Amino acid sequence: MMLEGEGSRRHERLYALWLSVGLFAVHQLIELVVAFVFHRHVLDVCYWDCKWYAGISLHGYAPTATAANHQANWAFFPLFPLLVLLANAATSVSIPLASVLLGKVLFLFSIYAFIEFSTRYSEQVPPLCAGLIVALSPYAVYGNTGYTEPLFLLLTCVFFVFLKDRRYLACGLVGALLSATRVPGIFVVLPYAIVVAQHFLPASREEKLEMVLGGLLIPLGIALFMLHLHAVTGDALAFIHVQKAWGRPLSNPLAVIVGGFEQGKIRLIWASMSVLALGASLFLIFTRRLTLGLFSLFCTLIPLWTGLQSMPRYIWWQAPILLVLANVISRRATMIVLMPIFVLGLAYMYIAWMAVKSWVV
Amino acid sequence: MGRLSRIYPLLIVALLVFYAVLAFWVLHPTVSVAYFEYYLSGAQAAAPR
Repeated sequence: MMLEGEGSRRHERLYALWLSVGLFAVHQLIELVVAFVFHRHVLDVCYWDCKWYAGISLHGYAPTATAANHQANWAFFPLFPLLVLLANAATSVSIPLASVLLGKVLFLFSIYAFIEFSTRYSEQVPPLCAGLIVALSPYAVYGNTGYTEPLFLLLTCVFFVFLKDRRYLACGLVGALLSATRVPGIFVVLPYAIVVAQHFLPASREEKLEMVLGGLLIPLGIALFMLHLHAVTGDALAFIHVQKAWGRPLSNPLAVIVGGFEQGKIRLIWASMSVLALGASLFLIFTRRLTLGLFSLFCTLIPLWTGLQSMPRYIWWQAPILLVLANVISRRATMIVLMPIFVLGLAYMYIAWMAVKSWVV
Repeated sequence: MGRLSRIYPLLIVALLVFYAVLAFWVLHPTVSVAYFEYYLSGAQAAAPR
């Protein structure tokens, strides 16, 4: 009986793996078609933040900001550029190319990880719907452009799978990597605290120690980054302070959303996305998926402090939000309506990306 | 307790000490209002090193 169950699980994993490969290939095909039509090369797409990350891989963090606009690479977290550096050392391809290729590999893994995550947290979501929403959403464009988003999604999914299995030390180690990937990574400490609070009292002494150690490991990534920034720039919080150089002073998230609605055009779309993401987080909280909802709420609210510009990247690569969307397209009618819109949106995003439009950054 | 789990208390203490040092020695000066205002004024970014 047990062997039968294990065989079935292995079969499911194999199906999820091939599904991920297939959907990844469809995404690559869409990019290839757009690149062919617009006479671009699919591997020459390292623009905007990808260049910042490539700069970190090449030269490390800058001791001073640029004199012209006060910008510096301190806003960009170190795990992705470190992995790019390793890929560069292992393959000797150029840093920008290594960024794009590594991003693609992580994108493939993140599709598979999200399917695993969705089967654990929402059994009614078919693996196909889970894979479709990650691989072919409009903002899936960042999976191919040497950005940190695929790494963030991959690690978030792995973290939540470990949390479901209550593997506290594994959660702590993945959490440490997450907190070194981007600012919202540190917020996995919230779902972790909720699960630990529910199981702490009846746990054995060894389990309690594991819970505490796992929780203490989560901030280690960001702590080491802050220590490095302190050594290089003299300011451990340089990654927050430098936001001003991009015209992003810390503001009230509510005022940021209202401002977006008032300004209209693309900012209206970003503000609407932010409201929907906050709604999805609250939906998760009120449907007793507190761990997922709380994580998403903070992952949406905190980036909102610095404005609307990057909100799509923060929203469309959040595992809990994608889970809500996968639930939405699980209904045949909504899938038939939404997926063609999403695929067209993805193609449009590629056109904008290859035309180096600043709003797609 | 397993062999590996015997070092858990040691690791917990080491991490707590590390975070305490980070908070009081590295982080504390930068979260002060004066430093924040100095930074936001752009003077920090423009200052030669």
